[in-house]
Amino acid sequence: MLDALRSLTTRGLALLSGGIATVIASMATGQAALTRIGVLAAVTPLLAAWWVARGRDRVTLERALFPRVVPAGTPSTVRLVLRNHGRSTSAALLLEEQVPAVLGPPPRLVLDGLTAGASRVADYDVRADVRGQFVIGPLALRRSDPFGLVELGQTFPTTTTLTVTPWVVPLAGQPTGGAWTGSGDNRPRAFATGSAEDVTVRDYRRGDDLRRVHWRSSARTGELMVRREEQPWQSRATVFLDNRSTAHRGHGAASSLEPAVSAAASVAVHLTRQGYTVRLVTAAGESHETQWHSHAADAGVAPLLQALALLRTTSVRLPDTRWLAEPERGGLTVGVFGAVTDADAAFLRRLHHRAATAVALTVDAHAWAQPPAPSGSAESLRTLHDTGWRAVALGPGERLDASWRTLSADQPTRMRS
Amino acid sequence: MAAWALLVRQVVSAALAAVAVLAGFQTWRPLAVDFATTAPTLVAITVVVMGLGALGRWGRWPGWTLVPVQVGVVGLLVHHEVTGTAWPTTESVSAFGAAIEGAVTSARTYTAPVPLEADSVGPLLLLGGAGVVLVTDLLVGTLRRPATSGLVLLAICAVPVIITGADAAWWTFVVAAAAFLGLLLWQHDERIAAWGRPLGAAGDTFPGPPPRRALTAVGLASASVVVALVAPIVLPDHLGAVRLGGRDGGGGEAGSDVEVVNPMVDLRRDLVRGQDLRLLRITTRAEQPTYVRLAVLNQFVGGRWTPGDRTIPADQVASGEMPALDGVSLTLPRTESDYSVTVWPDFRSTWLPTTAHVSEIEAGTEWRYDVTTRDFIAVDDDTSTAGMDYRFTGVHLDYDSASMDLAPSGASEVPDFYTDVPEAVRPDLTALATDVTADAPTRFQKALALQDWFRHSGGFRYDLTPAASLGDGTADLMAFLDEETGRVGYCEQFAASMAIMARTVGIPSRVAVGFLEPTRVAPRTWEFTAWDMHAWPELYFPGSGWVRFEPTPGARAPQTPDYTNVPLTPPTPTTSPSPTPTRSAQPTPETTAPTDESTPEPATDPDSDASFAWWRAGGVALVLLLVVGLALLPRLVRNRRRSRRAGEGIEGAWQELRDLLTDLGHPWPTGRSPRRTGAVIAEWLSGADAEAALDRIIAALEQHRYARTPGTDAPYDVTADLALVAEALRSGVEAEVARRATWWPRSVVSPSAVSSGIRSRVRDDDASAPPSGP
Repeated sequence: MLDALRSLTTRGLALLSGGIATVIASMATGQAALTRIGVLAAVTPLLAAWWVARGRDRVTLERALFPRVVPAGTPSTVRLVLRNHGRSTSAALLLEEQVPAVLGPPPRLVLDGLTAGASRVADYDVRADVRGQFVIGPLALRRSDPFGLVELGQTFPTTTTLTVTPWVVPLAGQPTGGAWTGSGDNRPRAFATGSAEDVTVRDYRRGDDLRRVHWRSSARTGELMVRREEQPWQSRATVFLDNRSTAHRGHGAASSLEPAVSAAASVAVHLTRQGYTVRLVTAAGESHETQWHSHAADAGVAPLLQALALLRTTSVRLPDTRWLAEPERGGLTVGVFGAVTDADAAFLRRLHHRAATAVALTVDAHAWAQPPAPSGSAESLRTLHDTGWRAVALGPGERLDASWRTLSADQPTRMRS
Repeated sequence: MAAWALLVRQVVSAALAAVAVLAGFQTWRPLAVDFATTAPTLVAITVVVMGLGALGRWGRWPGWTLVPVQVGVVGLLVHHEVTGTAWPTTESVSAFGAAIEGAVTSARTYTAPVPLEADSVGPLLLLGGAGVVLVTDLLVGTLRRPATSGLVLLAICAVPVIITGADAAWWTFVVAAAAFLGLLLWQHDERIAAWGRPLGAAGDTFPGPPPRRALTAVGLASASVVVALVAPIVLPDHLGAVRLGGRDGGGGEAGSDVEVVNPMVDLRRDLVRGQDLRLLRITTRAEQPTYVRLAVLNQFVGGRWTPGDRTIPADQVASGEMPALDGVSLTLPRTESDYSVTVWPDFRSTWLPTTAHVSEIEAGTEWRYDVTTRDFIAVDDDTSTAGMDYRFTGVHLDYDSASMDLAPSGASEVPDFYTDVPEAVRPDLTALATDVTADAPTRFQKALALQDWFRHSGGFRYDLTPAASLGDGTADLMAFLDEETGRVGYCEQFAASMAIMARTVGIPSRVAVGFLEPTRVAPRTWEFTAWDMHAWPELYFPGSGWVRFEPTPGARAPQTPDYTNVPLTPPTPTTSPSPTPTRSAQPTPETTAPTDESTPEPATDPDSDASFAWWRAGGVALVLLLVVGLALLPRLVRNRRRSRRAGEGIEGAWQELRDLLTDLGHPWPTGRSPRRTGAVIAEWLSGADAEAALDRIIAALEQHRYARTPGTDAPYDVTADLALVAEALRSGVEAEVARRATWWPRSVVSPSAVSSGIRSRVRDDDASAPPSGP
């Protein structure tokens, strides 16, 4: 009740104080006829405050988000479920969700009130055009009486996180070469060793050739088993993203890191679709979440995209090279670079050396600088070419798919050379 | 928003404002007799202004064009109404000015309601009304500040109250309040609609439609209005009691004290002084205490009335019971009432203010009473009433005019000095008195004749500034009575003259000095000021004692005592006939006047302070009854429900259990089988007995609901088990909650109490669920 009194609106306070003043004045001057006017003015806010405060803390909130991870530019639906666990009808509820500015204006919803035990579902869409992780909530709830005399605030502290993955541009073109390579669990096996134990078998499925039935295993297990004649091989690709702050210019959504991240994401998605298992390596090294995974294509790229969604620049001066020490070699390496200088030559050479195929996209970071600086892509391209990379530059106005097509088209000649 | 919807919003808002303002105008009725001729124009002005406002805002006219248009149209309307010409010309404008001037003059000259013969105040009302309507429309419509328009409404209603003190009819208040709250609701509705997206779709609510905000508003508004209507009955209508509690003493500066040592001498000084000082306050449950006596002047010496030399025995202390009333027959109906008196420090009197008849007093030992005069005198000159608090029991006598009319001479029952008339004035006064009372056959009627002569027929005039004193009391008295030179004076002269003339016609008399009529400052609290001081004669009639008369003209004392207004036969020209001829007593000597005859008082007291007090008391009692009734109602309903269910078997018991849980603040798990519900309930139970009892109840319920042939077992008395469970549940909650469950059971207002039985039977489809819980 005290809270409710404290939350009287200006209108409510004016009415209350005016009413009390009128009552006192009318009594002091003996004008009893005015007393009831004052009483009405004073009592109405008090009654409203009582009415608003009576069902407090009985309204609960659940928030759900479908989906929790969306690509930039795609809407996600937030579902609010408000339930009144109290025994009385609640006051009119004004809901205001606190969302980051990039998700648009804060959604505002009005609920005429919840009867006891009732629940109410409210949906609204959020859409972000920039990658990142956004906290939705907390929800501010204001209870209002019908006359606008009291507004009692309450906050539901629960929040939900929306992850917005970077813009992904559909790329076209054949994979830019690559290597069938494997390691670890997926190490290729010598198949024809003659031992039955070495035969990889699987359950019989409809349509399998009867001649492939592995009778010995079938006898042992009591089920029809067939030989597996094909061995799973992985086509692996490494996407290296240079996120050193020295390599990029500009700030926030307007920095050159964003097109670089978008390019890396697009390439990763494209390669995954093409059947590659893709891992992401940044200047800070390889992170656990973005190591090679052996899942289905879309599932496999999701952690990578999430990692890209959260990627920030790092302040290291030289890229981490420990991951290069792995024994395994070969495969496709796609480098997404910012401004490349001669100082990076050693690293680039080492990276190129390790890869079977190495192509690079270099974002013209200088074009994103504030104030705009002259293009530095020529220097970057020169360094990359000097260290053996096939590289194209990506300027502010250029389309990623076009650049990618250039790299793809370039491939046969380079492969042959 | 569609254009029509916008128009509807504007029109509704304007209509609500119009209704509020018109209800406010209704309170102006007491301002002028011819208000009815002005009212239609006020209505027209309101409709025109509000209608223009609504249309203009719908058409999105900017406020700076809309308001001048409204002002112009209303100006023309008022002008037409006042002067009768449609378009202003030079003459009509000057006529308009003259009408306004006349209205202002009338308003200044006459008190409300302004009579017909005066220039009509209509133009003034129209101008004021137009201004009020324009401001209201500006606030509500153009500026969207409906709450502020409450101030305008308050102003409208305050005008007649301040001018006339008249209270408007309660329904105008209800209408205005409803319209004003409606405005607030309407505007807040718009604000909310503009604030965010409404979740209006019925599909996403469960269960049932959302509550209606308007219904809530109606509930809140009616509660407020009812409180506002009832509160003034309970609240004191004057803060006097509070404000004066500190005894700040109005004129606190030195020299503003009121001193009464020689009552008659001090009387006039106190009456003519500029300041109306508060002197004493009396609290009593009796009617308004009038004629509170300070002192009695019983001797007429040297043309002046004096208290005489009193020698009072030390045992006549003003503490405890007083002797029986002097000369009053025991058969005379009397009522005793307690009075408590507070004297302000400014009032220094060596005489104690009391009513004329006192049966008991507690004023301390420094005060003594005179057994013949029954006034109270300070023991020494240092003692005064200043700042005193004391109480006494006053006696109100219900005099019977008929028996006074029949009373014999009282001269022998009183000391000689009560009949003493100085030789110097005796011949003249006797001649005059005989002349005045020639038509009156009895002493009482002679007294009435004298009173009437002073008040009406004698041509006397009340004036506080009498002719200059001739330096001699006797000469002054004769000058006052002389038709040519005098007959102008104030209460002192009237009282003195009537008293001495009564002596010349054989009625023992004396003069009392005191206070005439108090002001009500709080319920049952009355206050006397210096200007209330008064003097009046008391005449002695055997059987009735010392009876008060009022010779001072109506300008000062509007009312004469009731017993002097009763027509006696033969009708004397002394008094105006009373409108209630209740007396039929014949003053013929043969008739023995029945003194115990019921004396029906006129039931309709014109100055209905008493009846008002009764109304108020009745109102308070009614409110109290209502409150007590409301407080008890839930419990009664609950008990009734409980006893009804006792006869409904196991389902009734189950309902009872549900209500019990609701009362105790536990949620009832809906949509579960009895056994699952029982598992939930068991969590709130303590004690194996109660849990076993609950199990038995549930088993019986399951059998009743689901068994193919119910009731094969031995008849099961559920009442004892239910009581056991109830006891366990009660002991599981805080005492506060349990008390609330007893007095304010929530289940009484719970909506699902009736239908739950059927619903649960439909819903409990998992009856085969394994028994869980204890």
